[in-house]
Amino acid sequence: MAFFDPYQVLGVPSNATDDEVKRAYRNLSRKYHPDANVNNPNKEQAEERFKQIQAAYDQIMKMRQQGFTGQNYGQGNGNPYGGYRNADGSGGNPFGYGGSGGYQNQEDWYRNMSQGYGRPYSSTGSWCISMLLINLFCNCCCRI
Amino acid sequence: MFGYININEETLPEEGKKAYRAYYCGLCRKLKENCGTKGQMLLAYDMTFLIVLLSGLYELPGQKESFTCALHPAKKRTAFLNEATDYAADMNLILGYYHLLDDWKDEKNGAKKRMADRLKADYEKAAARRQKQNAAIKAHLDALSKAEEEKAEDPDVVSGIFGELLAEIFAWREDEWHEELHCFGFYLGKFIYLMDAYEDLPHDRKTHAYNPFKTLSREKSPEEYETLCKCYMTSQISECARSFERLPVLQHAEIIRNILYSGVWSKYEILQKKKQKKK
Repeated sequence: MAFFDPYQVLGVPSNATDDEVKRAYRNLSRKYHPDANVNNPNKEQAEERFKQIQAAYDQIMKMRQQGFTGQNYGQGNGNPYGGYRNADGSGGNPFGYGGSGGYQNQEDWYRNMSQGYGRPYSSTGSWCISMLLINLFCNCCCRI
Repeated sequence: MFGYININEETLPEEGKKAYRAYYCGLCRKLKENCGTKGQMLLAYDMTFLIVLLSGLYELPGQKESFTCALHPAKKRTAFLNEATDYAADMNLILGYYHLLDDWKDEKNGAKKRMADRLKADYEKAAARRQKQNAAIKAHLDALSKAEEEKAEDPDVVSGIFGELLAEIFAWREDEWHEELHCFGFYLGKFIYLMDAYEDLPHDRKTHAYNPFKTLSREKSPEEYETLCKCYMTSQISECARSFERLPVLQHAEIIRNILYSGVWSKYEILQKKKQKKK
């Protein structure tokens, strides 16, 4: 199995934040996206490179959501799935159960992500009422 | 059914609020351009959210306009317009048109029928521009009507039909993000449908209208019913949020997160407060 380090493809370390990964993806896709290489004589190479970039990004984001941080890249025998696969690349569940920093269920994940936002309208809800009235006004009073 | 996709003003920074309002104003102006003032009556927050998401994902070039709003004449307003605004305005019109026809069919509301008739020509132009989406919206609305007429008991099944409808709207282009946007729209659509059903249950019980939560509310205790509804809805919006986090959105990410992690629960919070007051 050919070794594919998605972090290397994007040019970021495996401990890059999600935003850093996204930024790297965006910078590379601006350069290699087919739409940006229409008149490029090497557009086929650019497209091939873009596919690698896209695949790398998809892999990182999906694995991170499964709790696989990619810390094993570059270690041991080059097995991108660390201890989750056999030495010959067969079998194993690369994503385990939650992994490092993963969540056992999506509700816990969502609750954790929501913590910075608090509960809306926890005081009086008065903003909501005024915005609803404004929207109603905006939508109803413009009759011909 | 729409109207749940709002920002939480208390927690969104000023810059985010200004950008969101500018996209909202941009959508309003585009609706006016396409359909006249009557089109502006269809203006929806949900389609504003669509513009913000697509603008963030594709980093679309656009224009910034300063204008005087007839409803808010005291101060000039800013509108952001781009390709996503054109798309969302067409989707807003198509959905609004079908919603009016649906209200006419269900409630025999003459005013809605007259409004639909006045919008028909503009709807047909938008439908011609967005044939794929229009066909998908019509097909899914028909499937939804059928499921509701057959009184489908499983909220997951019936909300899934609406999810598929919104998925077709959110998956704007046939590109590398089509699948992820489809997933995003699907779960957002399911959440919207379930939230609408949760809110409408008391009214639907009185009017004997269809509601996918009727069976659940009969079979479970009030506490179990509330917990299950919350779980249903959280399950959908969390999948939607996970889909968003997979997208390489940096621009306007704070607005989208504000909505997905907080703003979408605004109506739910209000309903809970009302229930507490009644107790």
